[in-house]
Amino acid sequence: MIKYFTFLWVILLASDKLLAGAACCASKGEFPTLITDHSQSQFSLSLTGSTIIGTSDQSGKSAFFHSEKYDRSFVFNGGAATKISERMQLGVGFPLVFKNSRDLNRKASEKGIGDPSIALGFEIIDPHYGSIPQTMAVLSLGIPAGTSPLETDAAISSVAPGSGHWTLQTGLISLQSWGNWSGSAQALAQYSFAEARINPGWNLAGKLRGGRSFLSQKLFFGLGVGPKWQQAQTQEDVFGKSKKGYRLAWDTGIEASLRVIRDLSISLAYNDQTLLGPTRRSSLSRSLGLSLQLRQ
Amino acid sequence: MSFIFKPNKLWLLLVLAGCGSPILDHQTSRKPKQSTGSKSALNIDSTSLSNNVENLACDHKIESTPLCFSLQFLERPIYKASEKSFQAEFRIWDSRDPKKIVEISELPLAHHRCEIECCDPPKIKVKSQGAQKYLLSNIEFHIAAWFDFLIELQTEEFGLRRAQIAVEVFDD
Repeated sequence: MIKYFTFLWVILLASDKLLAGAACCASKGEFPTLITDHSQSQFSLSLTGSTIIGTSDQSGKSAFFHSEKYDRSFVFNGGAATKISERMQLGVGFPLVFKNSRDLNRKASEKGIGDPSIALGFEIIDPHYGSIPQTMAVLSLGIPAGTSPLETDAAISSVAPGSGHWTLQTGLISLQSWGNWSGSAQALAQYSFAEARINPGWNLAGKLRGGRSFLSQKLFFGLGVGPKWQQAQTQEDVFGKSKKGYRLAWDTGIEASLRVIRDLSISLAYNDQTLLGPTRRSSLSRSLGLSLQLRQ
Repeated sequence: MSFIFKPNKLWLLLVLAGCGSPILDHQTSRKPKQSTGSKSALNIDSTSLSNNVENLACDHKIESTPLCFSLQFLERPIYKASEKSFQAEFRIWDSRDPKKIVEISELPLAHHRCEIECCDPPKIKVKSQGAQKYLLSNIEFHIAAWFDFLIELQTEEFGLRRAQIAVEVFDD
């Protein structure tokens, strides 16, 4: 697998086409490696730190953790994407995950590769259609390369860097600009395949983003909001079959993006799941991410 | 920076509250108090547990059998992560004749799980304490919530049966 990633990186780095840098606009959310302008290829590096603040139960009642209980993660993600035709592009993402967790005197930490992904993007409507927003479809595959919660020997299994199952994700993202204002809307459906006794099923997510550019579109500030929903699950263990309710949480985010030089931009994004409700059976987290994007 | 109530801020708060914002409506779980070694007044003293099944009410029945069971913790079950483990006494008796010994061919197996997903608790140890009475130990609670207990029994008369009960675990 590493051989193929190295091969792809070499191909991408060998690309010498230098096109104009993209204007700063509403971000691409769950698809950070997606090329949405006329660049030929894009490389991104990101570091996201997040902490689970608490949980909400079946009835939507939220409980925040006390100071001696936490679940933190730092994900360093390298991504690359390249256009393989006028409308089609191929991207990869490779995460390195560091997690640590504490529950009173129980402590656990683990680091390692997470679950890499490979994605195909297709531009359904290009930005020259005037009033119709630029729209892209994405299909991506998540590979369970990281140690899963069932495989880890850690005292707290949630520190495992991998999910333990294959995932297939498909989504649509639309982007539109009105002068210095821009917005994006995305819908995402993910299916996680069953692995051992984990049967995660369908996840759906949506997000609306909007914001304004300043300094000749070098600087962008935006806000975003969207739900994350996971279907009700059936769990089978020694207790028999039991149906667990659906999960629901809402992301609320703020982001700033700066085009440092022509092809390089830097972004800072904060996301919070404790602001909006209703929530059900979900962990509630806050995260801060810093990312660098180089376009060619 | 002072927070001045302006109509627009009030509107925002109302919207957040109306849609069930976790930040406006949540509880913060409390850290358990450090164990001092002495039992609190709320703890159940093991000596106070009845030694006579005739005095026990048949609150929990094993499905499709006349068998009754009880699960009593020797201490009040509270969230302590792995700072300590708990013990409970499991009893089984026949409601038709509480004095009649319920024949069980193997040592029962005991399991527990939390209704909220949390880390897998360790295996419960089961020790016989004479006929119809078993001591469950090594019970750990990693969260204050409802826990399901399941005891699998291989009875001579009814075959494999399962006794299931939910136990509420408190903060402290």
